Amino acid sequence: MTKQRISPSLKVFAGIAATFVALPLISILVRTPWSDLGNMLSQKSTRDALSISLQTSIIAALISCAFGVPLAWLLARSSARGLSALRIICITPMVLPPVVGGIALLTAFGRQGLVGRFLYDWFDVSLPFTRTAVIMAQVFVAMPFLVLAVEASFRQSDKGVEEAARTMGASPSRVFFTVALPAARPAIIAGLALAWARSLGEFGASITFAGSFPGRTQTLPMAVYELVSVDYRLSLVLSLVLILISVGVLAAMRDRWMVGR
Amino acid sequence: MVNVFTDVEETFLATHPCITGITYSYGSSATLAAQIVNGSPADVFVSANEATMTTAKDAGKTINAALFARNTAEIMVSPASRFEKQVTDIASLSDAVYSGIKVGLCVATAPCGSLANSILEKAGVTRSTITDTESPSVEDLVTKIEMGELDAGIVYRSDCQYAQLRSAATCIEIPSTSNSTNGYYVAALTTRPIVQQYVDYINSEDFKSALQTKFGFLAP
Repeated sequence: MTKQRISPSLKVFAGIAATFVALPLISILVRTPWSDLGNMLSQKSTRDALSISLQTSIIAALISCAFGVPLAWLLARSSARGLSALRIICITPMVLPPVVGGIALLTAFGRQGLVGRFLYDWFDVSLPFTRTAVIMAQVFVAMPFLVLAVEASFRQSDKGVEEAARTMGASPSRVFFTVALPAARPAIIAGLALAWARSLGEFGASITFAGSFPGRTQTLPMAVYELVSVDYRLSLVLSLVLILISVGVLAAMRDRWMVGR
Repeated sequence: MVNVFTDVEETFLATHPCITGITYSYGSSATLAAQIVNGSPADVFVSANEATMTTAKDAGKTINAALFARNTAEIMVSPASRFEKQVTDIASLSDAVYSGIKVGLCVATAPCGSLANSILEKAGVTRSTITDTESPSVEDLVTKIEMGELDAGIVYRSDCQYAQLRSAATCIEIPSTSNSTNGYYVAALTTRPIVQQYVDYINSEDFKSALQTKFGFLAP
């Protein structure tokens, strides 16, 4: 393959675009108080926020996968009416401001919510301001990323193989588990990583629905937000942790979604 | 403060026909102070305690900060709460007393949070034993109690009284032996004449007495 030449003026625009995105990230690296890094990372409040973030985001990613993959399968293969409306509803949280998602979750699962009031009155279950609420908020915003990635993969996969399996007597669930699922594995892993990274960064929906209390519901992004006005240096350190995790996920997954490379 | 300044806006605009509107940015005083230090284009800063005003002052941003009102804390209980009748004092907010009670406080860095901290300290109650969530601002906390998502919280007397007027809260006084007060400060950040007129209005006796009679604040 011959190397394609890129015009100089396009290079300038591309350079500006890349700099604009890279500069703020690099600035955090520059400003991070490296000498105090170990000290700050070992503070109890930092470790608490980090462990809550890791715990909730991993659970949220796994829940997204367990329920999101069947939903993606339904969206890709069902011919029921109203499917495109269902798809739009299911991926709306991707474009919704997360704080709106938080309010929506409160109106559904809050103590006075549509469903939440029965949970509270009948079973004494109060979801807001608990770690379960943190996970629910994360699933709400992150699952659509996985659904979309996996649905696209199901659509592209060879229906002929599924049909062959079916004519040889395989049940619909066997076709799903032994034919479709293995074929979609790369997309599922990519979707899982995306959902996990999105959960880790979740802020707006969680702080609205789950509140923020150190050691219980306060995740890394909430701690960063609180610290900006109090301890700027520590908020930089926590931001750095989040950046490193995000870059790590993207780097590890680069082959999964960079199509044609 | 939102209700107060909505009211101020109407009165001030009525007497100053040459300006058409005032833009407000509400938030915890700590957040606002940090924004001002980092160059927020505000003309006036109103803070709910001295510490956050000092933050802005130390950065060389404020002109003549003045105390214009005081406030104290009350326990705000949601009318929707199943613990409405049970909450009588700070100690009754604990999970150990009423299992499952959800209580919010302001985050410790916000003035309403440091006020709550000093009350808890005097009452001998640990913050983490009663608190289920820390709100970034008192408005956020008041809303969640009004909605019934939280059973109770420690908020400003003025906020609770205002909600009680609308039957959106039951207010429980905290005895003066464990209660504290906080002061409200106003300072100009720019030298425009209209800005000074606005600050003068906040410092006027008319406005100060309205704060007390209409909104439940205390005299400065």
